[in-house]
Amino acid sequence: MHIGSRIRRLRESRGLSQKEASSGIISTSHYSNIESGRFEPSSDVLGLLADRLDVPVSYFQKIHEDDPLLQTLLTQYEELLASDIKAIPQFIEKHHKRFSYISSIHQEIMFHLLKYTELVKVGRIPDAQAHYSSEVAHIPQAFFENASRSLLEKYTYTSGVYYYFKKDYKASMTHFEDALLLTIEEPLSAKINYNISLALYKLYDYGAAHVYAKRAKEQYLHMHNWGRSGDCYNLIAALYLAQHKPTEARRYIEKGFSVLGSPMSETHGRLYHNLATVMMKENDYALALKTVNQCIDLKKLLKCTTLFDSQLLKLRILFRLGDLLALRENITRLQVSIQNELEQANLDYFEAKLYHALGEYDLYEQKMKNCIVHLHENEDWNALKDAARHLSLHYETNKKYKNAFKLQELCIEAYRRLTMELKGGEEK
Amino acid sequence: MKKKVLMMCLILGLAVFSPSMNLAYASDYSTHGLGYEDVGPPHARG
Repeated sequence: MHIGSRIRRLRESRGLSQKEASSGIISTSHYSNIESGRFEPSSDVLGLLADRLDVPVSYFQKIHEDDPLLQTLLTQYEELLASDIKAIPQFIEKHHKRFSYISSIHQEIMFHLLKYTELVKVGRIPDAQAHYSSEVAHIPQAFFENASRSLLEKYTYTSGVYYYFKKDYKASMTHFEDALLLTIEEPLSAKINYNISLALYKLYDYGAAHVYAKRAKEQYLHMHNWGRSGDCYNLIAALYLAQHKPTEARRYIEKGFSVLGSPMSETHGRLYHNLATVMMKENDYALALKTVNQCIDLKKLLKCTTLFDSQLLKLRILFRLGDLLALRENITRLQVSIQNELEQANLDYFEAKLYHALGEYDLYEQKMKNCIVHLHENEDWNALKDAARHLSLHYETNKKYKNAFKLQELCIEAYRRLTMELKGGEEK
Repeated sequence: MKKKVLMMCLILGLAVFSPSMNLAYASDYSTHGLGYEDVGPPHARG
């Protein structure tokens, strides 16, 4: 990273060509060499370029020197993230000028990493992802080779979270593993262990995920952090569930409830969701229904983002119970609260299966086709493979082999994309 | 006799495992994705 890369980014954000940015100041070829880092511009040229790009000239000076006062503010920002997140907007507003154009590249990156964390912590995930993409993603990895341990550790951790939400779990895990090597604090190390386990769970590597989750659980228990310990018990239960071991899962869910105590938290909601899944796996559908209802009530109360997942679980349970009337009622009720296309597609899947169970095959085909189109558009390969297979089998039963073949191909495509995701998406 | 038993087994086997008998899918064939589980988001810094 050099002054040239900062100038280039500014020019691009202003929508100017190299010619437009440099005309009347220096030749375009000279300017181009500055952007690529081959020439170091004089302070006069920097002044004129700052004027042209509408930034204070200080933004182009001392880019490799940290400002001690700003460092104090960044430390305060970091402390507020842990202690009083609601006070941050006011804090940023108060120091708005200092945070607007940060000269030091290191401090500028640090600021953006903290900003990303703030957005994640207040639940603004899409904004956080957009912020990382525009402000951090362009920085070459090599730049961090000379960075301080503290910055590198923040960068690797934050990138781990970014890639997790981007669903690139392999990249997420790699960054978290790097962060783990750099951290010296136990609270942070516990969080990283937990996050690695979560990424491994998404990569279906349950054995390794158990090791990290149990390590995180021991660390949190040692720190008497009961809320986070509850998360770990829940994650371990989820791992057992994924391994089709409901008895072990139930044991960890019970431990989770006991370590959490009251009052009710989002983790309670997750534990109820997973308990209902355990009951479903044990074929106790009536009790599963009661539990998932408890889960839904709690998630509504706490405004949990995963409410829809639990509502889908309820549909699954009603399907197993064979209560098609209740299933129809619930689907209709859910239609009004749909937030996006993917949720609609998931609901269509259940509606299609309902029509199938009722023998209304035309409606079934229509709904399932619709569902498949939207799952494909939203790249939900996991759900797509099931939906495509379901419709393919329907066509096969009705001897419509051409259609059945096409859908099997789509199913294979979904599996291919899933495998690619596991490999880190290198074939894209 | 042995031949007859073998033939019977073969016919029965074919009948049971014939691909046209997709009885299972008529009910809740599909698991509709792995990950029934609710694990929540990663633990954020700070």
